[in-house]
Amino acid sequence: MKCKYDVIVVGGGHAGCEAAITAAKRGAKTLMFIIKLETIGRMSCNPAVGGLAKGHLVREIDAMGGTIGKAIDKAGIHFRMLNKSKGPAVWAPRAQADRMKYQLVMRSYTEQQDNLDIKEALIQDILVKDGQIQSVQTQYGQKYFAKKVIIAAGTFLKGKIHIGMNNYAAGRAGEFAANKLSESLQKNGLQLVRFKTGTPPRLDIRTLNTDELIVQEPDEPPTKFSYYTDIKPKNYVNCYLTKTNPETHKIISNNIQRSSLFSGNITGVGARYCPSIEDKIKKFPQKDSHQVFLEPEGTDTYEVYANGIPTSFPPEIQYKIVHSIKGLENAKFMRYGYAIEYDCIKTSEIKLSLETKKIKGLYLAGQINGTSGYEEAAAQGMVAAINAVNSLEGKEPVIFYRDNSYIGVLIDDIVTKGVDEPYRMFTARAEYRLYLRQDNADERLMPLGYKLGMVSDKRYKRFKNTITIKKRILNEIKEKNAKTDSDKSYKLIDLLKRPEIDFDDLKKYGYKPSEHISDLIKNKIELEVKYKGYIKRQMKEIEKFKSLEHKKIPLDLDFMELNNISYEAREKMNRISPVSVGQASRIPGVTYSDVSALLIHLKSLNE
Amino acid sequence: MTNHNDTITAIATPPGKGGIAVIRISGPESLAIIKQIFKPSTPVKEYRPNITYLGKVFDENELIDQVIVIYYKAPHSYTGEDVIEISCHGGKFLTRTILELVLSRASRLARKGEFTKRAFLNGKLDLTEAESVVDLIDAKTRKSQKVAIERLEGKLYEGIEGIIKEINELRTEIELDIDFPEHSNQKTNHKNIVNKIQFIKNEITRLIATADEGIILNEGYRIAIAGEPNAGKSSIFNRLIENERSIVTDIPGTTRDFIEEDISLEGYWIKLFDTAGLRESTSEIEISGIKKSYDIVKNAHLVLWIEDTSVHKEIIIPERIKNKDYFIILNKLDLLKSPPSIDKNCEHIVAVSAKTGHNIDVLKDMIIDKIDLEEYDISQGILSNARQLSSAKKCRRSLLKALKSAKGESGYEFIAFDLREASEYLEEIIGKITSEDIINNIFDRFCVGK
Repeated sequence: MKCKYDVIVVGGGHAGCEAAITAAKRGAKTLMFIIKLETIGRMSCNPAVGGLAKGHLVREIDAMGGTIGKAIDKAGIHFRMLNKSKGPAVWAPRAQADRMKYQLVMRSYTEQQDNLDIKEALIQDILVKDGQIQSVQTQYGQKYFAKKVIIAAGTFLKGKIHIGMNNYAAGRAGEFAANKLSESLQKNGLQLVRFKTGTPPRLDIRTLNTDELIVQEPDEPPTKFSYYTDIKPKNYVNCYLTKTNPETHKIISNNIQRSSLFSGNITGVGARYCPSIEDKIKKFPQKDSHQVFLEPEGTDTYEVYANGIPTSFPPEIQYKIVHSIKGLENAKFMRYGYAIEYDCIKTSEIKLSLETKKIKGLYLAGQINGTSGYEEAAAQGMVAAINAVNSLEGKEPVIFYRDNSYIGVLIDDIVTKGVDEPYRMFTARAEYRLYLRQDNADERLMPLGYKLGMVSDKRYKRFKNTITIKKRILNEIKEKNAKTDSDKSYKLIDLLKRPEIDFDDLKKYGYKPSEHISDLIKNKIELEVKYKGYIKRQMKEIEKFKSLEHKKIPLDLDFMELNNISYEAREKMNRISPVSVGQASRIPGVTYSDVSALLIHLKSLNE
Repeated sequence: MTNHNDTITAIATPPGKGGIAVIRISGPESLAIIKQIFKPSTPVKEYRPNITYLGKVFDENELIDQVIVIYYKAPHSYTGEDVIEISCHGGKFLTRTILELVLSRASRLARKGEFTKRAFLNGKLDLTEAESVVDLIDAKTRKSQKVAIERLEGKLYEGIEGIIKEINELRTEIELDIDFPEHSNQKTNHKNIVNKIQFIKNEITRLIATADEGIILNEGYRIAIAGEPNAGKSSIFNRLIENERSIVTDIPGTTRDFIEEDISLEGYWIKLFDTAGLRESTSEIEISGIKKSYDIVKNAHLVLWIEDTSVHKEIIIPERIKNKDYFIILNKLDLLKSPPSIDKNCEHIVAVSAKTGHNIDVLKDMIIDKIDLEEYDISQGILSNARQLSSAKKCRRSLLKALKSAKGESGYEFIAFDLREASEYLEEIIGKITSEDIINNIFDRFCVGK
């Protein structure tokens, strides 16, 4: 029996699910492998989706027709908009998830998807012939054939868990690692690096002294992630906040050698933005307190996630640390924190389409590319699948650019700049942040998602309708005079430009809208009017950016022959193979002079 | 790069009657060319780099000149390519003959700025350095040279880098607060941000203030000699240029209604303009001359208003001159029996005699004092061309916007946006940001030779 598919996805986490659903939705006969069916869409780390820049990614994936936004809207139990005290460009939605429910929701989305088969098996080998992917092979020796294979292996490639002096092979606590697949990739010429990450202990909420904790309430009503859906998210729980103290820090300092991190057992590179508690104490000894967020794991469990104290101390030290913290003095442990090391691919191996440079038809998505985070993973899964299908259809890949999405920033960063530590998205990474807002992701990306067959007609119609109304209302307030006491006559739009006036205030100045206006539209109009000046400047920058991005570098250009460019830069360009001058200019180590020389060379080619 | 594989040549010294002229050849054929036209006094098997060879240049069998040749081997040369420099006896004819001889071999005439362009492309110079070289080529006096050299040494670079660092520190603080609201630094607030932007803005303002000086040093201090007809303007003009080293300019001699001469005064490069007499006139030709005179006055840093002191009349200075910095020169002192009474406190009047040269030294000192008054501490690096000034001004504008946003307690992301813009404008000066336009502008300004 020969099993043939268009697209095979290896892994069923956040990248894998998004990849499988996207490919299937776009009409490809798709098969998704997962080591254990129950773990589809499992959140390995904290039970939450969104947050700064990550929330933006979720909104963008949703606007493209992806699944993560809908899943969290259904499985969320505590919704908040972060950064409300700052400007709207950096507002960010975040939600705590019911971990079990999220898995169930995601499983049901994948199972209900037409064209998509799901199979429990461990993939141990990829088979390549003449630089083209042929098939994958399971632990039982079965071969599955496909022209396109997307690997979304998460932390499972040679995953190794550390707690104190103990360590064992696992992809996640209590789950098999994928040891052979890692070797297979290496055997086929892909370079690997080793990263590490960690998780904190999980406690029994009934044993916390909540009177001693600061309560964090959700926003009411909750703001959802998905655009133009009828899902009604609901808040169910509060979160809690406490902090470490000098006593905690003393325990950690006195026992530092017993942490896997400092015992020399771990060689993988960790992220600076997500350090273990022992790292925090060691690197910032002057700080006498760190925050600990207590996040409930769901509505049907008492498990609570102690966000802020990931650790790889042995259990007895973990107890001491947690019990030294206010409100957690009597906390019972349900799981211990641990550190995990895993293999990922050097990102110079992949193109902006997420296809590997060496093996045609092989795409990589998610943590295997050195990123961290569910949202970053989901974005890559979606992009890999879009391009796998485009390639099946003989079409050019869809490249996401820095000026139209965080997805573009993400992929350009990892491919062009490379990844030295687990990569997480920040708003500061996006040069065009004022334009790449979470409120306008639909306007930026939904037309593309629709064109690619990922957004349903129904949703797209609702989107178009919203934009039409928005335009109409904008014209209305542009033309109508406001009723004020002043002798000068103002248009309504001029009033709305003032920081203290919001859309509903316009009623006080005699505005009677000609139709019902949803909050979404009000919000869009407010932002557009208030920040017009900045947006205009940002657009100018984007124009500048595009001009370099549109200067394409011929695919057959041999960078090593450009003698006028420094050797270091030539070598780097050769490794990354930038497709445009803009991309080349962002490669670290490529200087101003190198780019000028490249420009002059390209000019001479044209002449 | 194919278009850079050829060999180029040009006269590297400024045109004029220098004692020695240098012809530079750069490119792969350099050595081959010199072997064809040059015979060393002692026979040479193989030219070694960085050694001077004395010998003679021949065209076929005809002796042209005795010269010194130096060979710089790639990449250890100015352009990063094989370079030959021929030092010959100066003089227009001789120099051109040798140049043509070189050109008749496998080379072509270097385009404007091409040596420096190659140096830049081969990573020999960064952008600020490349610009400094242009200024150095143009540097006509010692003081200008000092500025150019110091810039080469990166003073300006350091100064600007320091400011960029300050902006970036503030940006970092703000970004931290945006991306990690839960770890927000308590010290970051609008008031502190305002203070920090003020501080940075002052630094930029200081830098911008140096530009006047830089541009004077770079483009010359312009002095217009003006006055009514027969006040003795031309005599003063001639007195001022005599005994001073006259600088030959390579500006093509277009017909002008004024005379211009470049001189070096105590190391300052001064452009001296003698203008047509200013008076009420109906003659069409004269009116046109007067208009040109006023144009020169308008662009001058200083005006010398010449009066014939032997004619008893009230001194009336035209309004258009009163708006400028000006000195009143009472000329024809030699015709007076007793010197005119001049208020000692009045610093900008002097009585002179162009005929005898009396007090001309005093006038020169006044001019130097005037320029020195505007001198800044150039050791900190100064802005010395219009491109740098424009970038610094744009940076200040962005900082002002940031200040406004911060004062108005706008969202941090807007302040961050303004600050990034400010930083990018400064990066333009020290050459970190890519922009084809900037490159083109710079290369257009390069003149042949170093």
